[in-house]
Amino acid sequence: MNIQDYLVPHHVDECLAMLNAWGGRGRLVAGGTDLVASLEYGKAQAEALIDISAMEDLMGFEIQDHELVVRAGSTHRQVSAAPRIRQLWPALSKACGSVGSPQIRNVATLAGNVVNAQPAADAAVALVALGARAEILSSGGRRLEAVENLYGGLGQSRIDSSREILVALRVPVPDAGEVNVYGRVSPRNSLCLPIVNAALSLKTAGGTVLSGRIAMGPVSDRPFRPERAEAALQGVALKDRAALSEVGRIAGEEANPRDSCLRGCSDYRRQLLTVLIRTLLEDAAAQTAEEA
Amino acid sequence: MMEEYAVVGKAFRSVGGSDKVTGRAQYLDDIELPGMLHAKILRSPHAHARILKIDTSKAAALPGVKAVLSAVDCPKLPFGLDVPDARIFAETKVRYAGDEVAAVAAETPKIAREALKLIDVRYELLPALFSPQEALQEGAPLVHEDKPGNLVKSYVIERGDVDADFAACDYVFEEEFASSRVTACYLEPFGAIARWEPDNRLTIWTGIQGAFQARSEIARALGMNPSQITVKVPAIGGAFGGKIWIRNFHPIVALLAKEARRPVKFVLTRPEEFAASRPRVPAKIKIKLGMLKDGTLVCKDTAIVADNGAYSWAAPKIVLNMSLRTDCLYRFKSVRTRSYLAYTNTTPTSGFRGYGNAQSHFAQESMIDVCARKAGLDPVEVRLKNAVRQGDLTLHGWKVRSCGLTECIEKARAAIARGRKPQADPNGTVKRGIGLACMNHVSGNRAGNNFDGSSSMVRFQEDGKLVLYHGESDMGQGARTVLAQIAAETLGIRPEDVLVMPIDTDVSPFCFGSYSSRVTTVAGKAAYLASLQVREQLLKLAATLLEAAPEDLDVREGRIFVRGGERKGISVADVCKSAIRTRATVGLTAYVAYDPPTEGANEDFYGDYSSAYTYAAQAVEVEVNTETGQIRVLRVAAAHDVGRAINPNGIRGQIYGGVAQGAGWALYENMVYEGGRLQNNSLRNYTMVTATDMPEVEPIIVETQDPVGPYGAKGIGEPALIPMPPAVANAVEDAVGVRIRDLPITAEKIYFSLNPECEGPAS
Repeated sequence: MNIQDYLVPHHVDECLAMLNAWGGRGRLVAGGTDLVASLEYGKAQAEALIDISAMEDLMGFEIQDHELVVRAGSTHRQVSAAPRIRQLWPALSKACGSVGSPQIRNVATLAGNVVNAQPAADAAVALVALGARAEILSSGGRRLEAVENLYGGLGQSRIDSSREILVALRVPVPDAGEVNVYGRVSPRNSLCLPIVNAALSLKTAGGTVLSGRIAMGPVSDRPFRPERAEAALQGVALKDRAALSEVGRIAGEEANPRDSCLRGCSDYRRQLLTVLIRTLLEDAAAQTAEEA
Repeated sequence: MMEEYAVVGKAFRSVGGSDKVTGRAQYLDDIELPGMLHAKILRSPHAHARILKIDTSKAAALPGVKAVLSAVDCPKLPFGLDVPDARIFAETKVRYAGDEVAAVAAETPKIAREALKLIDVRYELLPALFSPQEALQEGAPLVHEDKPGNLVKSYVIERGDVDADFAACDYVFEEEFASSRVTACYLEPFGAIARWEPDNRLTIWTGIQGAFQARSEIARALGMNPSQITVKVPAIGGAFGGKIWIRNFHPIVALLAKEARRPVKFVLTRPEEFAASRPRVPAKIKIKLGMLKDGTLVCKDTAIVADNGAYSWAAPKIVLNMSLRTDCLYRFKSVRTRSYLAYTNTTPTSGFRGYGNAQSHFAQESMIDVCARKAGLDPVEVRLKNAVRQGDLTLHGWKVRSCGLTECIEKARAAIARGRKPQADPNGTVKRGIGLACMNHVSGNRAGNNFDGSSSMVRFQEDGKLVLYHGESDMGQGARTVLAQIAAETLGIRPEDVLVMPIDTDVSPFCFGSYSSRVTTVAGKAAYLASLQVREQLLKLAATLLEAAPEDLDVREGRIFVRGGERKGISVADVCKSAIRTRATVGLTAYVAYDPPTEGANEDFYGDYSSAYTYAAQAVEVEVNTETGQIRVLRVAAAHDVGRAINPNGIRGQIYGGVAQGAGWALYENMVYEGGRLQNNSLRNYTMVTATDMPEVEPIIVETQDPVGPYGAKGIGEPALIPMPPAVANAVEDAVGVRIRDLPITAEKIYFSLNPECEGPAS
């Protein structure tokens, strides 16, 4: 680590000015839970760190215009503990509550989970299933991108945090009949990366799935959407256990998890996905039955 | 009825506990000496390579660097234990990824780290050996050129006529078990500070379990006399056997400090702790077991192949324990064990809670269940039928003076049966089962004709407070608390009035250290005997002051009184003041070197080498998801024969900790190597149990009043870990009918065992 300066801007314009002043050699830091370790071990480089955690215009979250707007300073703990989010986006709430430890969740931000671009990132997997978009600001202006399009290879984000700021994540409010669920399999209960994780968001009517989005990790270089399994979801009756199992089977087949000496061999992880997706569909079925 | 005591057996605040939780305890890394430098060690990236060249000139030229050392600058004296093959730095070749190649002392840790990058080492790669099986093959490359066949040590131990007994058995079964490479992973990384004193003496601060052993080993590596060295032990943040013996960094910091003429601190980083510590000795253990139809265990033939790693530390002794101890758990008629310990190009293995006994218990206690099930018998009944009992002389010559094994089995079985969950959930994917495993262990372990006791010095101060000097490290297990309780009980004072001194080899009486679950039993006995002598001095003087006969006096809660006439008395403090401040000149001091009444094993490994053998049974309930293989340990009932509980809370703490560490090993802990390099060298991916994974634990204290131990006490340090892996394996078979023979019992292994048609990973 060879950091020459540590800057604390108070609003977005000031922050952009600082990034520009460092001309690509500065880097944004929020919780720092991944970045600091990467800098320490030489896996990331920066000459200046620009700390966005004091910026009031990046604090908090709210629902506006049929969207949940989670600003970049929001921590995993804030998101997972919010009753309104737990109610409308249980997948996001649960995913945020699964990351690391309480100490990590108290400082690590949801935006950081996306920018860090790890395929196993719990919150990012949930955001992809929920169809979230990222609002990105640079000196060139403002743009909106689907979270799933922000990946440029393993650990590579298309957001350049030496030049631009992910200011907010925008998650559509579920319509009536829409449910979302999240789950993971890990060797132990906490402080543990998942062997596999998955989130689903389903549009249903009268106990039948109209359409659904599935995101899974870490089975690719990004949160992975199994197209065939999503197609197979259409028209499935949530009571039909065999059909739910079939969707799980297809999702497992589409995934391409690596053989890992630590996370398990590919076949086993595929089996876990098959079971996880089916279990999550059953959870979703139970949720819709409750609401009906 | 056992006698009731005032302090022994009572809940008492842990000595030093509040300092730890309030951050006042001084650990090694809290110590800052004036002018102190910081050291870093350059380690081999290769498992096996010839060193062609080491150029340290650029590192030495970096501003802030005060000393750079490699093998050429150091004494070339072999050190180590039974097979001393270690050198301070790798000389002609490196033998594992992590081997010490060079070291730097600099003004800051950062400069030292930068300097390491400037050391130019050229290697020529050599073929490497990663398993003892490969290493023992004919024609295998040699790890040490002077150790033919890569064999460190082999043992053949035989009692009775095993072959004839097998021929007479109704059943003979054979199975092979394997235990994984795991690390003690204590919270506080190991390290040392060295400072040279004006009279050419050396002071080493290090959080080590055996201060006097450390002193003699450091002296040996440096070519000094032990009395030229002072070892001081600060607070220790966990050790679990991983800090019994010195590491290469101990002589390294001493030499860096000498070169730089300044104090030097070295603390291992966590990745170094993983890659270059001393993991548990992994072993493959094949057992052939003969039994009768009624469940009588008759004979056993065992073959062990174990991994020593690149240099030999405690592994020879550990494999000896592995080869003997479980034979004494049941009343076998005959046994035979052949064991081989081989060098490999992996991290040197050594001591870790259980010291070999945990590996062999996994094999044997799994085997008992396998055999009982095959014979259609209840595994718990088979254990009860064959359990050793008080008064037995075991086939290796142990005299079983106290033994609560039967009671432990019965209590653990009853406890786990209470409140069991359903054996299967309605949807059929979750199944539950229970399993039990037993264990025996030692409280001290005499080697040959060596001392195996402990020494204690107690001294009253003029205000009636007692100072107790000892040499057995408290690495969190509560040694200081137990010693304070024993002294207080014996002297009739409050434990709060006993000051248990930190360890300093110039002042502390000679002791071997905290291992072999020996401290309560042998150090406790030394403290007891020393306290008894001081009590006599105290009462004699009190008798004069009270004009009574000493034999009529008693002392309780700091007051000495005439038995039967309680109103006539004097405070301990007043007697101490008279002893020290008047012309009475009573020392109120005693130094006792205690050696237990045991015999070291003879050349055939026969002998009663511990004064108090310990016994336990742990029963567990597990839940297995049949679709994913995932296991949860739901409950543990842990019954331990501790002789007599001196500090019941301490015992419960040991049981909770042993269950956590044992469950971690049973379920996930495993150091995974690829090409000789450790793949999980951090807490991120070396999976241990967290608080949220802990099962419900019911500690059950069984008291058998040992005739030798202080107030009847025996050890508890290691026992609580030992039965966990086999108990979990047995419960998994009970739940889903599959037997996992190699640790850890991962979900993936269970899944592939449940689905034999699926092709598992190549093992």
